[in-house]
Amino acid sequence: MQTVHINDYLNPVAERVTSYLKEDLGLDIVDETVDIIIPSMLDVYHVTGIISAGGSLGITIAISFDKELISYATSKFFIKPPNPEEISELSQGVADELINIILGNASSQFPKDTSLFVLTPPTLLVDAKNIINKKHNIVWKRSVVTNKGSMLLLYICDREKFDENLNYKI
Amino acid sequence: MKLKAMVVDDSAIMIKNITQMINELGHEVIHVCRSGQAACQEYGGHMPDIVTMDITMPDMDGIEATKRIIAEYPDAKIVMITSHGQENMVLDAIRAGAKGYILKPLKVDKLKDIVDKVIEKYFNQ
Repeated sequence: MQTVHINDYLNPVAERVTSYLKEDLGLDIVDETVDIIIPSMLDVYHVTGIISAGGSLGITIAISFDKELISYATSKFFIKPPNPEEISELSQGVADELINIILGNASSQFPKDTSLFVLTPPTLLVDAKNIINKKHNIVWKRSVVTNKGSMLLLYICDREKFDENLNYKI
Repeated sequence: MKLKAMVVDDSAIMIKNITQMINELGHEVIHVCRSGQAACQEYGGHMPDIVTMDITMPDMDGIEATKRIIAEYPDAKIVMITSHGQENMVLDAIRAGAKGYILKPLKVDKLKDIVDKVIEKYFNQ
Protein backbone atom coordinates (compact mmCIF):
# COMPACT_ATOMS: atom_id res chain seq x y z
CA MET A 1 0.00 0.00 0.00
CA GLN A 2 1.33 3.39 -0.91
CA THR A 3 1.83 5.87 1.90
CA VAL A 4 1.04 9.44 0.98
CA HIS A 5 1.64 12.43 3.19
CA ILE A 6 0.01 15.60 1.92
CA ASN A 7 2.57 17.62 3.84
CA ASP A 8 5.17 16.42 1.34
CA TYR A 9 3.31 18.45 -1.32
CA LEU A 10 2.05 21.19 0.93
CA ASN A 11 4.98 22.27 3.10
CA PRO A 12 7.37 23.13 0.24
CA VAL A 13 4.75 25.43 -1.30
CA ALA A 14 3.85 27.03 2.03
CA GLU A 15 7.53 27.62 2.76
CA ARG A 16 8.14 29.12 -0.68
CA VAL A 17 5.20 31.48 -0.21
CA THR A 18 6.78 32.67 3.04
CA SER A 19 10.26 33.02 1.57
CA TYR A 20 8.98 34.83 -1.51
CA LEU A 21 7.07 37.35 0.58
CA LYS A 22 9.89 37.93 3.04
CA GLU A 23 13.04 37.56 0.95
CA ASP A 24 12.02 38.40 -2.61
CA LEU A 25 9.53 41.14 -1.77
CA GLY A 26 11.06 42.24 1.55
CA LEU A 27 7.72 42.15 3.34
CA ASP A 28 6.82 41.47 6.95
CA ILE A 29 4.23 38.82 7.72
CA VAL A 30 2.06 40.48 10.33
CA ASP A 31 -0.52 37.73 10.72
CA GLU A 32 -1.24 34.28 9.43
CA THR A 33 -3.73 31.54 10.15
CA VAL A 34 -3.98 27.92 9.04
CA ASP A 35 -7.24 25.99 9.09
CA ILE A 36 -8.66 22.75 7.74
CA ILE A 37 -12.25 23.47 6.77
CA ILE A 38 -15.12 22.06 4.73
CA PRO A 39 -16.86 25.20 3.46
CA SER A 40 -19.64 25.38 0.89
CA MET A 41 -17.96 28.48 -0.49
CA LEU A 42 -14.42 29.92 -0.32
CA ASP A 43 -13.89 33.66 -0.36
CA VAL A 44 -10.98 34.71 -2.55
CA TYR A 45 -9.18 37.95 -3.34
CA HIS A 46 -8.71 40.14 -6.42
CA VAL A 47 -6.68 37.70 -8.53
CA THR A 48 -6.65 33.95 -8.01
CA GLY A 49 -4.73 31.24 -9.78
CA ILE A 50 -6.33 27.80 -9.88
CA ILE A 51 -3.94 24.92 -10.43
CA SER A 52 -5.12 21.40 -10.92
CA ALA A 53 -2.55 19.05 -9.48
CA GLY A 54 -3.21 16.18 -11.88
CA GLY A 55 -2.24 12.70 -10.89
CA SER A 56 -3.99 10.39 -8.49
CA LEU A 57 -4.08 12.67 -5.43
CA GLY A 58 -6.97 14.78 -6.68
CA ILE A 59 -5.89 18.15 -5.30
CA THR A 60 -6.66 21.62 -6.61
CA ILE A 61 -4.45 24.45 -5.43
CA ALA A 62 -5.60 28.05 -5.35
CA ILE A 63 -3.28 31.00 -4.74
CA SER A 64 -5.08 34.30 -4.29
CA PHE A 65 -3.67 37.84 -3.96
CA ASP A 66 -5.51 40.95 -2.88
CA LYS A 67 -5.16 44.07 -5.02
CA GLU A 68 -2.76 45.80 -2.67
CA LEU A 69 -0.32 42.88 -2.55
CA ILE A 70 -0.32 42.08 -6.26
CA SER A 71 0.10 45.78 -7.10
CA TYR A 72 3.08 45.94 -4.77
CA ALA A 73 4.55 42.73 -6.20
CA THR A 74 4.08 44.13 -9.73
CA SER A 75 5.89 47.33 -8.80
CA LYS A 76 8.84 45.21 -7.61
CA PHE A 77 8.85 42.65 -10.43
CA PHE A 78 10.62 44.75 -13.07
CA ILE A 79 13.97 46.49 -12.76
CA LYS A 80 12.28 49.61 -14.14
CA PRO A 81 9.20 50.01 -11.92
CA PRO A 82 6.04 50.50 -13.98
CA ASN A 83 4.08 53.71 -13.60
CA PRO A 84 0.79 53.50 -11.65
CA GLU A 85 -1.32 53.30 -14.81
CA GLU A 86 0.66 50.30 -16.04
CA ILE A 87 0.49 48.38 -12.76
CA SER A 88 -3.15 47.41 -13.14
CA GLU A 89 -2.55 46.18 -16.68
CA LEU A 90 0.53 44.18 -15.73
CA SER A 91 -0.61 42.74 -12.41
CA GLN A 92 -2.51 39.78 -13.83
CA GLY A 93 0.52 38.61 -15.79
CA VAL A 94 2.70 39.12 -12.74
CA ALA A 95 0.29 37.05 -10.63
CA ASP A 96 0.57 34.25 -13.19
CA GLU A 97 4.37 34.45 -13.02
CA LEU A 98 4.46 34.55 -9.22
CA ILE A 99 2.33 31.44 -9.00
CA ASN A 100 4.61 29.68 -11.48
CA ILE A 101 7.67 30.75 -9.49
CA ILE A 102 6.26 29.64 -6.13
CA LEU A 103 5.04 26.26 -7.37
CA GLY A 104 7.95 25.66 -9.71
CA ASN A 105 10.55 26.44 -7.07
CA ALA A 106 8.70 24.30 -4.50
CA SER A 107 8.41 21.35 -6.88
CA SER A 108 12.10 20.52 -6.49
CA GLN A 109 11.23 19.49 -2.91
CA PHE A 110 8.31 17.23 -3.84
CA PRO A 111 8.66 13.43 -3.62
CA LYS A 112 10.25 11.89 -6.70
CA ASP A 113 7.15 9.88 -7.70
CA THR A 114 5.59 12.34 -10.15
CA SER A 115 2.57 10.19 -10.94
CA LEU A 116 0.75 11.40 -7.83
CA PHE A 117 1.02 15.15 -8.23
CA VAL A 118 1.46 16.87 -11.58
CA LEU A 119 1.12 20.65 -11.65
CA THR A 120 -0.70 22.27 -14.54
CA PRO A 121 -0.38 25.93 -15.64
CA PRO A 122 -2.64 28.21 -13.59
CA THR A 123 -6.04 29.37 -14.73
CA LEU A 124 -6.38 32.95 -13.58
CA LEU A 125 -9.59 34.40 -12.13
CA VAL A 126 -9.85 38.16 -11.74
CA ASP A 127 -12.37 39.79 -9.44
CA ALA A 128 -13.97 36.47 -8.53
CA LYS A 129 -15.47 36.84 -5.08
CA ASN A 130 -15.53 33.20 -4.14
CA ILE A 131 -15.11 29.62 -5.26
CA ILE A 132 -18.07 27.30 -4.84
CA ASN A 133 -17.12 24.09 -3.07
CA LYS A 134 -20.09 22.10 -4.28
CA LYS A 135 -18.65 18.72 -3.45
CA HIS A 136 -17.76 19.89 0.07
CA ASN A 137 -14.17 18.95 -0.43
CA ILE A 138 -11.76 19.40 2.43
CA VAL A 139 -9.72 22.59 2.29
CA TRP A 140 -6.38 23.37 3.89
CA LYS A 141 -6.40 27.14 4.06
CA ARG A 142 -3.54 29.46 4.92
CA SER A 143 -4.27 33.17 5.16
CA VAL A 144 -1.26 35.48 5.19
CA VAL A 145 -1.37 39.17 5.99
CA THR A 146 1.69 41.27 5.17
CA ASN A 147 2.43 44.93 5.62
CA LYS A 148 1.54 45.40 1.92
CA GLY A 149 -1.56 43.25 1.54
CA SER A 150 -2.84 39.72 1.89
CA MET A 151 -2.90 36.38 0.15
CA LEU A 152 -4.38 32.91 0.46
CA LEU A 153 -2.93 29.49 -0.20
CA LEU A 154 -5.61 26.83 -0.55
CA TYR A 155 -5.29 23.10 -1.04
CA ILE A 156 -8.72 21.76 -2.04
CA CYS A 157 -8.67 18.01 -1.49
CA ASP A 158 -11.07 15.44 -2.89
CA ARG A 159 -13.13 14.17 0.05
CA GLU A 160 -13.28 10.75 -1.55
CA LYS A 161 -9.50 10.51 -1.13
CA PHE A 162 -8.81 12.46 2.05
CA ASP A 163 -10.40 12.37 5.50
CA GLU A 164 -11.24 15.51 7.47
CA ASN A 165 -7.69 15.60 8.87
CA LEU A 166 -6.24 15.36 5.36
CA ASN A 167 -5.04 11.83 5.79
CA TYR A 168 -5.00 10.04 2.45
CA LYS A 169 -7.59 7.27 2.55
CA ILE A 170 -6.79 5.25 -0.57
CA MET B 1 30.96 43.41 -26.11
CA LYS B 2 27.37 44.19 -27.04
CA LEU B 3 25.42 41.00 -27.68
CA LYS B 4 22.39 40.60 -29.93
CA ALA B 5 19.84 38.62 -27.96
CA MET B 6 16.72 36.69 -28.87
CA VAL B 7 14.13 36.20 -26.13
CA VAL B 8 11.88 33.13 -26.28
CA ASP B 9 8.99 33.07 -23.82
CA ASP B 10 5.21 32.68 -24.02
CA SER B 11 4.73 35.21 -21.21
CA ALA B 12 4.52 38.88 -22.19
CA ILE B 13 5.51 39.77 -18.64
CA MET B 14 8.70 37.72 -18.80
CA ILE B 15 9.55 39.13 -22.24
CA LYS B 16 9.25 42.64 -20.81
CA ASN B 17 11.27 41.66 -17.72
CA ILE B 18 14.08 39.92 -19.63
CA THR B 19 14.24 42.67 -22.26
CA GLN B 20 14.67 45.34 -19.58
CA MET B 21 17.44 43.32 -17.96
CA ILE B 22 19.26 42.64 -21.21
CA ASN B 23 19.14 46.34 -22.08
CA GLU B 24 20.30 47.21 -18.58
CA LEU B 25 23.34 44.98 -19.13
CA GLY B 26 24.20 46.91 -22.28
CA HIS B 27 23.03 44.34 -24.81
CA GLU B 28 20.24 44.47 -27.39
CA VAL B 29 17.15 42.34 -27.89
CA ILE B 30 16.87 41.94 -31.66
CA HIS B 31 13.97 39.48 -31.76
CA VAL B 32 11.28 37.96 -29.59
CA CYS B 33 9.52 34.62 -30.08
CA ARG B 34 6.42 33.59 -28.17
CA SER B 35 6.87 29.83 -28.69
CA GLY B 36 9.46 27.12 -29.09
CA GLN B 37 8.14 26.43 -32.58
CA ALA B 38 8.62 30.08 -33.60
CA ALA B 39 12.12 30.06 -32.15
CA CYS B 40 13.08 27.08 -34.32
CA GLN B 41 11.65 28.74 -37.43
CA GLU B 42 13.04 32.22 -36.82
CA TYR B 43 16.47 31.64 -35.27
CA GLY B 44 18.18 31.38 -38.65
CA GLY B 45 16.69 34.64 -39.89
CA HIS B 46 18.23 36.60 -37.01
CA MET B 47 21.29 34.60 -35.84
CA PRO B 48 21.43 36.14 -32.37
CA ASP B 49 24.58 35.94 -30.26
CA ILE B 50 22.58 34.59 -27.34
CA VAL B 51 19.09 33.21 -26.74
CA THR B 52 17.13 33.18 -23.49
CA MET B 53 14.74 30.25 -23.64
CA ASP B 54 11.78 29.56 -21.35
CA ILE B 55 11.31 25.85 -20.73
CA THR B 56 7.56 25.58 -20.17
CA MET B 57 5.77 26.65 -23.34
CA PRO B 58 2.58 25.21 -24.83
CA ASP B 59 3.38 24.04 -28.34
CA MET B 60 7.01 23.00 -28.06
CA ASP B 61 8.90 23.20 -24.80
CA GLY B 62 12.20 25.02 -24.54
CA ILE B 63 14.27 21.86 -24.21
CA GLU B 64 12.95 20.47 -27.49
CA ALA B 65 13.38 23.86 -29.17
CA THR B 66 16.97 24.02 -27.90
CA LYS B 67 17.75 20.55 -29.27
CA ARG B 68 16.35 21.45 -32.70
CA ILE B 69 18.10 24.82 -32.94
CA ILE B 70 21.45 23.35 -31.90
CA ALA B 71 21.03 20.45 -34.33
CA GLU B 72 20.82 23.00 -37.14
CA TYR B 73 23.05 25.72 -35.63
CA PRO B 74 25.63 24.00 -33.41
CA ASP B 75 27.18 27.33 -32.36
CA ALA B 76 23.91 28.62 -30.91
CA LYS B 77 24.30 29.96 -27.35
CA ILE B 78 21.08 29.20 -25.51
CA VAL B 79 20.42 29.92 -21.85
CA MET B 80 17.39 28.28 -20.22
CA ILE B 81 15.14 30.18 -17.83
CA THR B 82 12.64 28.33 -15.67
CA SER B 83 10.98 28.21 -12.26
CA HIS B 84 11.49 24.45 -11.96
CA GLY B 85 14.62 23.43 -10.14
CA GLN B 86 14.31 19.70 -10.47
CA GLU B 87 17.61 18.01 -11.17
CA ASN B 88 16.24 16.02 -14.11
CA MET B 89 15.16 19.22 -15.83
CA VAL B 90 18.57 20.80 -15.38
CA LEU B 91 20.21 17.69 -16.82
CA ASP B 92 17.79 17.67 -19.76
CA ALA B 93 18.66 21.28 -20.52
CA ILE B 94 22.39 20.59 -20.43
CA ARG B 95 22.03 17.46 -22.57
CA ALA B 96 20.01 19.52 -25.05
CA GLY B 97 23.03 21.79 -25.43
CA ALA B 98 22.11 24.76 -23.26
CA LYS B 99 25.07 26.88 -22.18
CA GLY B 100 23.45 27.89 -18.92
CA TYR B 101 20.40 27.62 -16.73
CA ILE B 102 18.76 30.32 -14.61
CA LEU B 103 16.18 29.56 -11.96
CA LYS B 104 13.39 32.11 -11.56
CA PRO B 105 12.78 34.56 -10.00
CA LEU B 106 15.03 36.21 -12.54
CA LYS B 107 17.46 38.76 -11.14
CA VAL B 108 19.70 40.96 -13.23
CA ASP B 109 22.83 39.78 -11.41
CA LYS B 110 22.04 36.11 -12.20
CA LEU B 111 21.53 37.01 -15.86
CA LYS B 112 24.74 39.07 -15.89
CA ASP B 113 26.75 36.14 -14.49
CA ILE B 114 25.54 33.77 -17.20
CA VAL B 115 25.91 36.31 -20.01
CA ASP B 116 29.43 37.24 -18.89
CA LYS B 117 30.40 33.56 -18.81
CA VAL B 118 29.07 33.10 -22.35
CA ILE B 119 31.02 36.13 -23.55
CA GLU B 120 34.19 34.98 -21.81
CA LYS B 121 33.98 31.43 -23.11
CA TYR B 122 32.69 31.93 -26.62
CA PHE B 123 33.44 35.47 -27.73
CA ASN B 124 36.68 36.50 -26.04
CA GLN B 125 38.99 34.14 -27.87
